[in-house]
Amino acid sequence: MNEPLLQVSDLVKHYPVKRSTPWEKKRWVHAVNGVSFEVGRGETLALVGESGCGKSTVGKTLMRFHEPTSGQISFDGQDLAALSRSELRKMRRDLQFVFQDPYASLPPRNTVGAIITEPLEIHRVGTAESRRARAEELLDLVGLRPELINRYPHEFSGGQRQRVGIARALALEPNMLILDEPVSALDVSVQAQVVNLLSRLQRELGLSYLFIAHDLAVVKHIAHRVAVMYLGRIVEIGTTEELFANPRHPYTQALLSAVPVSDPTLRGQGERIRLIGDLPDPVSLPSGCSFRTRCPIATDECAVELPLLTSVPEVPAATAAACIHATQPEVAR
Amino acid sequence: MTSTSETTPVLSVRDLTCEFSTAGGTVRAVNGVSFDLAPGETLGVVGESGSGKSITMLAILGLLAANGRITGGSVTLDGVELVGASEKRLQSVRGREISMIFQDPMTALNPVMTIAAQIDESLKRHSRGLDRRGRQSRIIELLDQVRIPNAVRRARQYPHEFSGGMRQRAMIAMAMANRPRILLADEPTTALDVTVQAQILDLLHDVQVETGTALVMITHDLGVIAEVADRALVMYAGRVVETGTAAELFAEPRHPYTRGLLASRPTLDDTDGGDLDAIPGQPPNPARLPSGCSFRPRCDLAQGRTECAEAPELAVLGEGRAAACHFHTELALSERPA
Amino acid sequence: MTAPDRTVAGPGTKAGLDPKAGPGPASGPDPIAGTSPITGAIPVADPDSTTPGLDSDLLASPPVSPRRAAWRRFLKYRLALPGLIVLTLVVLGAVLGPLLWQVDPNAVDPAQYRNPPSPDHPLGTDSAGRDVLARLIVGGRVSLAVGLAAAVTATFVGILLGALAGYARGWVDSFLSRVCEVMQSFPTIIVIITFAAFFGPSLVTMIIIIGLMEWTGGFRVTRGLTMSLREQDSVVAVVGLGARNSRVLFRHIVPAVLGPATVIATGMISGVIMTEATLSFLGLGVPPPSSSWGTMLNQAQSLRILESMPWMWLPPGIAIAITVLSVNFIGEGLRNAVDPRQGQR
Repeated sequence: MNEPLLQVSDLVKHYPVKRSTPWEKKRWVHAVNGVSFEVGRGETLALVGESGCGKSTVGKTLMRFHEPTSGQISFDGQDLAALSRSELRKMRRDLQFVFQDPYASLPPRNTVGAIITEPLEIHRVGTAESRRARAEELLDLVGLRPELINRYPHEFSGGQRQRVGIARALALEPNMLILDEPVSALDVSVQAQVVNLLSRLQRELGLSYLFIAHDLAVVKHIAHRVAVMYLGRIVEIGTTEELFANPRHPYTQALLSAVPVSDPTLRGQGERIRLIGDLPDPVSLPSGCSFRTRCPIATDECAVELPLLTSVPEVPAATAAACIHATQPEVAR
Repeated sequence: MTSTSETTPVLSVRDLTCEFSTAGGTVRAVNGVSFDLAPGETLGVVGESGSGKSITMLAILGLLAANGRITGGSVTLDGVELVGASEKRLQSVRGREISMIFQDPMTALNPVMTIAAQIDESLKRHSRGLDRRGRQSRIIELLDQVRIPNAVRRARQYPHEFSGGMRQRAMIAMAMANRPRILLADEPTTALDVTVQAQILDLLHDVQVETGTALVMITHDLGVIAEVADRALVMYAGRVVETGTAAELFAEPRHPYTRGLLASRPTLDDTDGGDLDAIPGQPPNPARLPSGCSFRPRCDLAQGRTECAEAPELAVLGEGRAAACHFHTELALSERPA
Repeated sequence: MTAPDRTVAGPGTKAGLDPKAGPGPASGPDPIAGTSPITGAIPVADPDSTTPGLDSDLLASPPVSPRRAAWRRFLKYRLALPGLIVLTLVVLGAVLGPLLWQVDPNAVDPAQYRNPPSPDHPLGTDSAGRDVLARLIVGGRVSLAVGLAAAVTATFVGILLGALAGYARGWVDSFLSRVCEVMQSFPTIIVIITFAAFFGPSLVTMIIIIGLMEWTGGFRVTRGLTMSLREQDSVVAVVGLGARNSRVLFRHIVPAVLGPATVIATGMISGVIMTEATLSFLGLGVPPPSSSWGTMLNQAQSLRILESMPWMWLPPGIAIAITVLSVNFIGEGLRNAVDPRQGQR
């Protein structure tokens, strides 16, 4: 893991708020406000946070489904934000996306075979026969019977459709997948299958994942590193082990404490940090730290300055947290 | 509110069976479901899509879709039969004796009525003793009870002015308006973020302690069961496959499906990074259930055993403890997989 | 419960289009793909925990294509099939009728002036002594041709402009939407009358004028659908695969729009047949001596005929009514057919 595959620095995405009259002042939804991270080859970085934190927007902006407002995205040495349309199309071979909702993301009128061969057709890979053979191979790879190639998406269950979506994303042999909540729409008994499939594919194909999710237990299981987002900013980032064991940002702490216990016998144990109030309006962000309006340890200073992600030099394994009150991990540990 | 007796169930469901007529034929969505609900207790109902968990609850309230009907069994509320009761009788039960909370408050609330007006409607209908002023103060009291800040101002707002969590609070306030004996909550936190889910679960617990209402919590999330349920039913393909206290189910599951669900979910307490023990296959389509035990094609205990060609009865294993598996004794002997 | 993962094309390498790797697993028994028999009874649980492929009922049932499902939904509207049959008969009658009833529709015979039905003239004769049945058959060709051709033209223009506006958005959309609004605010019939008067009445003029005036319905539906479709995951996914705009538009958006647009088109056919009748009634339809159902009605407009010679106006009137009704029934069926929420499972 020398040179990171994906490097994102200071990514910003603002949407204009629809004005009801032309003379109204133009206002912006601050969806992503300066996000920086790296994903190494063969690594899984999870982007976690609650709805409205901008995690999905980051993923979609990386795919250039939306144009970034500003920031640099370097993928495999290329500056994604500067690519022309045709260069962008070529780049898409290496960076693919898996959607959350397997019911909405497959074209309903096409057979599974047509869906999986479509990327090959677009990039003119192989002949019709070789593409079909490749589709059967891909079905097998994601754990579906190749005989199902002539079936339509509506005949499949959610988990099976998600496998089709993954097969389509893998058709062009990408280096990296952006997975936007890939298991959260699936039945519980099926989620584990898809999580296992993703782990196996990463092992076998050496893929990098940007795993966007809100389910912390799944993230803990699958990710190597985790970035926690709140209101369009990363508030804490670090290795999975360290972040779950020693969360330093109060938001990460609150998030972890809110996860339901895994066993009834653990009920009531562990300190619960209950956040008060609602997410602030992303059109007018709070001054200073965005989290201060709901933070249990906020002080007056928090309104003054935007805290930057800072790591602890004495503890190399520690996470970087964007909080002036970030709990310091014990140096000698 | 103190209940009459701890032993008499407030709600008793026996062999409830519901069928739907569809283009593809008759679909049995609920198949012989039985359970008791004690006053003030929290009963969790776990299941995946198609398990019949939501339909069971709708059937209790007589709210099945036009193509569905109850084809057998009984539902008694304080000993009074609800199956076959007149629509008028059921209307007097809904919202007064039994209230329901849904997954998506935005679709359950009326978008063009203020929160206060919606609660008022229910009060007008069921709490006839209250005059206008009495209802007004009750509305504010309810919104306070569900911890909606600035209740007086918020009462005059419309659902779209509320956040997701606040809307769910308003739903709970509405459901509690007439001090029901039973609250049926269908995935009330599924659409919510984890921090908001924690707030709502806390709130439901507090409301329950304050009012003594019994709560049926329908969910697909074992975490929610672990967090709130006293007892739980596990449903699969329209049947109850296991019952017990939440602690018993988690500590020693006696049905391979329950065990599989527990083993397959990642938790924050996991330490190893190996593969999850996934249950193979898909939840069955209720219109095309496998013959015999519905879980057979996905079951690691079945493995071609002939017993499984026959649907297992729900075998009573102890007080309030039952499992529908031919081999539940094997599960009792084996350790729960890590 | 765990089973070994199947290896595909060796560890580390990509399972790819490498011809040497060959399809399927490189080594080891493969419990799922191909080997396990699909029988009615399923005695063995799926041995591979990562493979849910053993979905026996999925393989047991034949694939239901969306087209078949749509046909079933079409049939769910009970009058749709009768409508389709009747319309087919009407079209066949207009096309093949002259072969069966070989009477010259334009043969004037003053001796047969306004004769009631007789064995020689089953539907009687008109004011010029021409055979009403023969004229009805030939007139049907004109009416149906105008109806179909104008509706298809209008829908085609509507889909094209609507998809363009909805996909390009921005100023293209603003411009086309304004044009559409202007067109809609015009009283169509007056514009058509003006044009017909200007270019002279003819079949082709009528088709083109109606086609160019009536595209707004198709445009509005297509534009709205395209706007929402281009935001949908299934379409965004194709963009993410690297598809060009043309592919997204013509492979994914237009096919999805065709269904609803067909509904609009059928709705228009009946309207156009009526417009043609109106124009012909006003003498601006197809020029004499050729007939259409509208011109036949036009020529029957005198109180005496209406009162005492029903054979001159009743046949074209009934023909128009039957055609319009059956087209509407088909349209209603199509409306069901393109709505996948109808009759699911």
